[in-house]
Amino acid sequence: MTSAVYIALVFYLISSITFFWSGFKNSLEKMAFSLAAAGLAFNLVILVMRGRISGRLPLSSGYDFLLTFIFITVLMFLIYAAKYPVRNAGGPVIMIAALLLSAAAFIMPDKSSGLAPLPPALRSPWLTVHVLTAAASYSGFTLAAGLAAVQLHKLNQIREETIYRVVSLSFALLSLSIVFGAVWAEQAWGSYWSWDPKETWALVTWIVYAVYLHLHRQSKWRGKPSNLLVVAGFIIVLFTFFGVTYLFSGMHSYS
Amino acid sequence: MSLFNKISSMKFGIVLLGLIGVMSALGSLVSPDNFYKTMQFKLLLVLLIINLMFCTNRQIMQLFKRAGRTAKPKNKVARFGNVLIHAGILLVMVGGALNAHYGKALEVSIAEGGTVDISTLMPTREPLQVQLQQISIEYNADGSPAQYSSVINAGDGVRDQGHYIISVNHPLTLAGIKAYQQSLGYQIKMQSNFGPDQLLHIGQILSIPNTERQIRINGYAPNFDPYRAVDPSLRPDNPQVIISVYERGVALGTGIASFNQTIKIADDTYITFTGVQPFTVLRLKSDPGIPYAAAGALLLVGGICFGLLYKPLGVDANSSDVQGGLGSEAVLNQNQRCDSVNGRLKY
Repeated sequence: MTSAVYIALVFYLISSITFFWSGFKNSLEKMAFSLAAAGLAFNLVILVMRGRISGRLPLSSGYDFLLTFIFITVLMFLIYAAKYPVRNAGGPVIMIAALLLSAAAFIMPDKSSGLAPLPPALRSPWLTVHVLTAAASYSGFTLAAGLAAVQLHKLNQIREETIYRVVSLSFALLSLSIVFGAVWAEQAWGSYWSWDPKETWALVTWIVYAVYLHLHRQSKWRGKPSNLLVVAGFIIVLFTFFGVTYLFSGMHSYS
Repeated sequence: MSLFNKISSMKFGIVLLGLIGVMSALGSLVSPDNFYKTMQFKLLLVLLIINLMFCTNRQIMQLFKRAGRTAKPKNKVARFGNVLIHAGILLVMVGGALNAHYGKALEVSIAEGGTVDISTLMPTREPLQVQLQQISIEYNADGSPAQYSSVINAGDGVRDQGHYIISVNHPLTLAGIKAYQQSLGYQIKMQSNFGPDQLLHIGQILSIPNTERQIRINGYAPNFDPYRAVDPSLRPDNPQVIISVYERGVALGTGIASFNQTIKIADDTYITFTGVQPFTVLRLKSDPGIPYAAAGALLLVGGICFGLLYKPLGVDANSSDVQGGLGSEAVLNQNQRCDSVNGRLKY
């Protein structure tokens, strides 16, 4: 299973570099796309294997969450890339996926935690919907950040609207994740909101993108300022996942 | 611009959101337990509630005004969704405010066989007494807990109202009070040759009569493993009590003791641990804001489906009907039109 992680990582890295390179040589774009798809296939293999070993969807630990988050990010990007010609956008998005997978491979300490039996609090159907919507929203914000990074380099109206659409979808998913998590917390802990660090930073992330959605509707905020906000929001997404997990203790300690 | 217009404006709402975001982030870093109870933070939340009230009201009025006009059906749905989202957030915040002011929550520990009169601890709709009949733990194959349950007998002090089970993720509502399975613990049963049988709790320090020695109950390990600092197993495969002995405040040593093993503490002074008495910890809560928060959550989810997933407002570059909804300032920047080349987008 570990070797599959390294193989997926290598595919993502080469794909990202090829996407960057395809800015100079258009013929490389298809190759970069295929490399990303190959990485995605190995990513899927890891998730399926972990699911088979644990006997449930691989969503119950931080390591599983990160693998799912990366998988959905690359999947979203490939769907997006199949619909629109992407060129430079693939470079940053797949590079982020590769860096996240590097973190999973080299930094995360306990890769076996998601394979152990679930503690009582996690034995709930809300686990699946809460974590899946969170992972999908993070993936959308990652895709939006990659597109926004390119948009900061070169303005394009259709891409601007695409970023808005992707952020809207991801914001909706994050809102659903927070609502599902609150319903679950009410059932399990007796409080739908406890100002737990993960909850607090999920709220901060939600606020950043809510501000973006409001500001984007005003022409003076479109372009560079709103794209900077999308990139800043993604940095907060990363802090909400990595920073809060490793710097704070709280009810989400298993994530 | 009048004060009313300022307070109800989207700009004011965005500033408030930004401030709440910054304060929330700082609060998690500085003092998470107290920060969110400060007056400054509460004031921001109250102002946001007021802003949302006016904003939602204005959106509803706009929705009715526009109802007669010819707008694209998709945008009507999206606008309706945005009204639901704002109204939902408003209701969730109102529910939270009601809970903060009128709600009550506490934890009670009940030993097996013990009874607690809940009505003396917090307001209940009718008298409520709870007797813990049994604590039940289901185990995974590795001995870690799969579920904790408390089997209780509820009554009003005169009549028996029946048996109920409270477990993790399955709370119980009785007499307007919701009871949650919070955790469980153990007290240690001890016999000695210097006094009556005792029940000791974890962390308790016991002075030994006629000596200057004390023992401290450091912990109870249901499945003690000397090679693992923390064993997730709660199955009592190798139960041990971890104790320390002190003399005049100075630690003489720490060790483990099996049940029914006689331990010499001092000359002619012996203790024996004979077993454990489990107790359950229940969280009891009354929250008058829950119906509002639940209604708000439903509106929010409905609004998301209509407003954001169905079709985000203001993304149709060719539509002339992009204003309104979140605000009326949206105008497409004609200078930022797409630079399409032969129908393909240039990126």
